[in-house]
Amino acid sequence: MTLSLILTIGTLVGVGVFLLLRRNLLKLIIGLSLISHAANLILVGSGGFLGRRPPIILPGPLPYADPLPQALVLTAIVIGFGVSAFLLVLLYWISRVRGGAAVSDLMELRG
Amino acid sequence: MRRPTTILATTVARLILPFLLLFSLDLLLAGHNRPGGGFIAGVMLVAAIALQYVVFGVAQVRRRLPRGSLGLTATGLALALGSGIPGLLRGEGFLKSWVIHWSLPLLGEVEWATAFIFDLGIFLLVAGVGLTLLALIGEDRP
Amino acid sequence: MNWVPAPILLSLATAILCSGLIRWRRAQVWVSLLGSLATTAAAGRLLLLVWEAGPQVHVMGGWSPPFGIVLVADLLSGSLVALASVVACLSLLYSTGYLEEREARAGFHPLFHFLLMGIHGAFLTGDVFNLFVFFEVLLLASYSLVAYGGTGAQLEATLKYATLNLVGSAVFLLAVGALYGLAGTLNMAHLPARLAAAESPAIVLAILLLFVAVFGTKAAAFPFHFWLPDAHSSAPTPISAMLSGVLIKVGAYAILRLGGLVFASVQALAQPVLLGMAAVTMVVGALGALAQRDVKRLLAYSSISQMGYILLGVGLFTPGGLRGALLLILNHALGKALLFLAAGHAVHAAGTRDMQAMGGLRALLPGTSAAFLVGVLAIAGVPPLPGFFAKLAILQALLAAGHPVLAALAAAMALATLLYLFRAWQWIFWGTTQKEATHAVPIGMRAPVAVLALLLALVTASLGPVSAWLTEVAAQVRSPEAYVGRVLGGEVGSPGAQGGGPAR
Repeated sequence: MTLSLILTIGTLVGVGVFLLLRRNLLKLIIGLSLISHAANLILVGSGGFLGRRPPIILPGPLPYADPLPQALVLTAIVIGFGVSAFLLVLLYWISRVRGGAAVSDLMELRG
Repeated sequence: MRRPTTILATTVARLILPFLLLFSLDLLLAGHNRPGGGFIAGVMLVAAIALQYVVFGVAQVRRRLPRGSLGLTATGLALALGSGIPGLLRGEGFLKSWVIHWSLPLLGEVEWATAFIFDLGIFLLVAGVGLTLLALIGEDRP
Repeated sequence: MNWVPAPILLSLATAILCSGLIRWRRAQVWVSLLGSLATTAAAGRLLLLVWEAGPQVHVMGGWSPPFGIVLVADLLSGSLVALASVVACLSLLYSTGYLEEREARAGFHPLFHFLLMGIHGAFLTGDVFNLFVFFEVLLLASYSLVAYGGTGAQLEATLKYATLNLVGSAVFLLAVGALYGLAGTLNMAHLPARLAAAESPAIVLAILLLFVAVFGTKAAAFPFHFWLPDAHSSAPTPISAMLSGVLIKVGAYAILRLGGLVFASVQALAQPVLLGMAAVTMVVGALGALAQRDVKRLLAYSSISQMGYILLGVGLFTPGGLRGALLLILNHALGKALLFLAAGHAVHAAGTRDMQAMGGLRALLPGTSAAFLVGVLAIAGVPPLPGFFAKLAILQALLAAGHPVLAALAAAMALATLLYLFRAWQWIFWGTTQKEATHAVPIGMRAPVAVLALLLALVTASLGPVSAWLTEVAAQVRSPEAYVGRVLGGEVGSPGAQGGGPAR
């Protein structure tokens, strides 16, 4: 479980960075959200996978899933949703104002 | 005019809409003790409407939808904020929630948490934001 | 009734009311102004309470501290909340004059109050993940406000700002995950004991450095500073004042809070990194400002340089260094807000942001010229003003800690600051009139500048009490026992041992 999680996180970050380095702004946004998903997975992993029992205190063997990282990730996903939505609207405006969505269309601010 | 969609898509979209809306409502009501909640219910509602956008086109959907999704957002936020105030005033902490047991005529004993008001607020908020987004960038292809 | 959440909740309530009143512009403006006044009053009340009765704790939702989220106001966060709400009030007043001229679009006031809510929340929270949430609130609001006018330059600046800070947010989450995996708690009062007991301080140090990178991005510290000149210069002027005056200090606050409280056990190990970053930030900002002709870009670069000074003091973490950094935060919040707002007058009157194309505005805007000079003197650190004593304190602390090179650098950059700010004042207000200025500056835009200049004069006049207050704040930051004791209610270490913490 842990190994597959690590591999998934690595892949997500790798693909995300690759997309960040493209010259297309839509790909930039997709890359950003992939990286933030990787961060969410790290947060899930930080709780460890100690058991499959739900975190309800009942008599019985102790190891149960840690509920806190899941609550945190839920919050982080919601925030990521809001941020992606904002970025997509921003990209839409940029492409309307500049007539394109490539990095080379954005060269106004320098120095 | 936009391109005509296949009859398969229009039929499925029309059939599936009430179920999606009901599912969204179920998620909202289930939220306290089972998987679900205000956010995911709101997202489900917006997804259901986004499907209509995709299949029937912006103009037709907008004609049927009531305006004022921004008002929905404000109402939702106000509800969510308001649900936290009693706990603050009673000195037990902002957003403190209580569980109330009601006995209703048909359903019998019902457990109801005041946290539902918060969930309802989040539901309205997410639905409002989602619909505003659809209206903002659903318009045309750049 | 607990006063700790009041500034956050009042900002949120004002934001909601404003978005409800979005069609009634006049009502919206009044609600917005009254709401920010109420927030300021609540912040003042809270600060008084903290001063009289020590750190105040609010337990959210009735979940007791190590498990639930707490809001904590100590002298540091209380003072910063009060400062932020004062600057916010004045920026908002300025915006009423500024926006009416430019066809105010709906959505400004709700976003402004969401921004304020995020700032207050970030200052007041006692939980690391909650800090992330409030950071995202204030960042999302600030992205929207930078993009507010919708011009190409604004959208471009927003994209840079948002992209860099989103990567920063991902790193924030990574650091939070690592922290939770290591310590099993995210409560700021509960963490120090857990981290001090960690087997390998190297991992704790690595996590602290991740946090320094994240908050360095928010505070525009050296390798992560390049979004700031674009974002702060492209934003509407009242927002520039807010961003430069208050928002970047949130990053410095977070470094101070985490370094001083949570990571106290490895704080000394991270010091070289922080000092190095701060020194380069100071130099890069000053050099960038020297090269500018656009007044708002110059002020933005100057903000980077001043953040370098603040981070030097924060990084030293000695009583003198902290007092200097805190005084500089106060000085820069008032002074830079003043400079941005006054520069707004000049830009408004001359219709250009190029300083060399302005010239001779002294005759048209004598009050603005005087106020701008006050701001220049404050930021450049000319003797009677607080900026001088702040920089002096930081210099002395650097020398006392055995960093003569950094001290020399700081002194040299203070001279550079004087040079570029004076040159800007001269370019804008003296010389021959190059452009026939036509626009009059409305009263709503004049009043906040006057009030800020008066506030700076007030701080100068009462430097003794202010300095004593900041010494007290610095002392509380350096010995956070009162903070920890208030949050955990005396039993450090025992709660949470049987809870959801991962067994390693």
